[in-house]
Amino acid sequence: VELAAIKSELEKRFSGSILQVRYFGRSKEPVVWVSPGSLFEVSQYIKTNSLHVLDWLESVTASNIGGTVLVTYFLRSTQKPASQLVLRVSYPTHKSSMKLVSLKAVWNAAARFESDIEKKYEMISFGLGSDS
Amino acid sequence: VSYSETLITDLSTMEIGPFHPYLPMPMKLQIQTDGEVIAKVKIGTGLGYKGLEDHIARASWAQGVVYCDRLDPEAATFGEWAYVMAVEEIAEMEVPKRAKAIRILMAELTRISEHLLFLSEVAKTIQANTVSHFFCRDREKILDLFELLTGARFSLAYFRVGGVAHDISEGFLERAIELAEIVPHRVREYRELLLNNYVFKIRAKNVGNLDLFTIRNGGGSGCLARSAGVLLDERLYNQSLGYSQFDFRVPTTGRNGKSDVYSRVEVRIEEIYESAKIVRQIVEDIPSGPHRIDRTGRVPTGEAYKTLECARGLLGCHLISEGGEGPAFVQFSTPSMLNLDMLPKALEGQFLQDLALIVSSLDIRMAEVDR
Repeated sequence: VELAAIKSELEKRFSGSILQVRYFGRSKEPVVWVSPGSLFEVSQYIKTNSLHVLDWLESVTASNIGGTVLVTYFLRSTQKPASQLVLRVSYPTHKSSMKLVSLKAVWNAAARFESDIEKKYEMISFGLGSDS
Repeated sequence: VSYSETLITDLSTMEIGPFHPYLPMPMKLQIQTDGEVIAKVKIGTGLGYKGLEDHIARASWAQGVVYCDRLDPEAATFGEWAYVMAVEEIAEMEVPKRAKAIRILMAELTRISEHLLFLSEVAKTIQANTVSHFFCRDREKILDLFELLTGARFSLAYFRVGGVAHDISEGFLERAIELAEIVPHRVREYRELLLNNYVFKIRAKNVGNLDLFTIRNGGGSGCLARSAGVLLDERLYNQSLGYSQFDFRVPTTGRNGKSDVYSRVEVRIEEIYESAKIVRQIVEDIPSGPHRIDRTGRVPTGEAYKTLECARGLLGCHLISEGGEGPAFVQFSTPSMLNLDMLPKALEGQFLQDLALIVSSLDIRMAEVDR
């Protein structure tokens, strides 16, 4: 997957919401950092309209590193399972109640992961499809 | 005189669990039934939570392997493999060819062993005790091989960062090839005893249905997806696993994009045959050389997400290193987690008598869910 192509495609559509696009670790998979406010819209877009239809939410992980909860979404396309894309969003932990953007309405599989993150980091999910 | 009578019946509610022969491990099922038909199902989890990932994050790089076994002690190989691959990617380590081959060999033996355990459990739920014993008999041969190689029958702790703990024991390869030769005969026997069994067909066909949309939308992978006709297998797509050199087929079953108990059993029986083919190819041409390279220096700062095809589907390990003595963060994504969420859909509308059969056919390991 071309980093530059993804970057220009997303920046054109979500100006100011794409914080960074780079490779994930030492792999050749792109990781897209998104601001929490635009996560839902970006997710909806990449599931249906982007260069690769990322309709398979493979995993969601959440880590508390350096005072922020880093939520990472590992995505794939069922049409081209060999290519992956990583979506990432960070939430500062200093706030009294942290809100997690719910992506249940985009990928059903997000429900199980979000419920685990809510319990572990005392976050409250909000948005379409969330229970709260 | 005319009169009408309306019979009002409420749904009955019953709770099963946390411990019950119908259930794979500690979990709760709250079931509402309309007569004998299951109307609604709620699942309660978290009863076997062990804080596994937090323990790994407090352990050293080497100790982490032992904890990974607890992800699913019966199929310890897969958790270990995902973890060591993630560490190796961060440390930029190239694993020797012999170690790679031994890892695949162990993974395929574990896959056969897990599928046999699954088949034995499914057979037991329909009181097919003879077949169930046959599956256990064959699984014992694999556990014997594990014992010969690692000294343990489960929770093997055999993989290491940079390779495997020690080289293959004397007599292991000969016994592995014996097993690979027996398996095709056994698979014919399983087909005859289970798939062509009239009673099993009646009990399993069109029971516990899950459609393709539900499976894909719920993130289903592995045998569950393949039992609905979807060709998804990490062994085909992930070149770093090293399966591209082997000749094997990924079987798919299911009719009209629908997975039922029968197709979930069928896909596993066919996979046993294919895994035995891989075992044979490895044993016949196992590379020589070292079984491990020793890590020098610290694991640098970085992160990795490695995936593999375990017996139930896609297993992922996300690992972050901050350059310390052990990982700063580890999280696994397991197929049982996602398959469990599909259980209500598979159960609703089905007869209560099929509950145990449907639950066992989804091959859920609560150890993978309550980590």
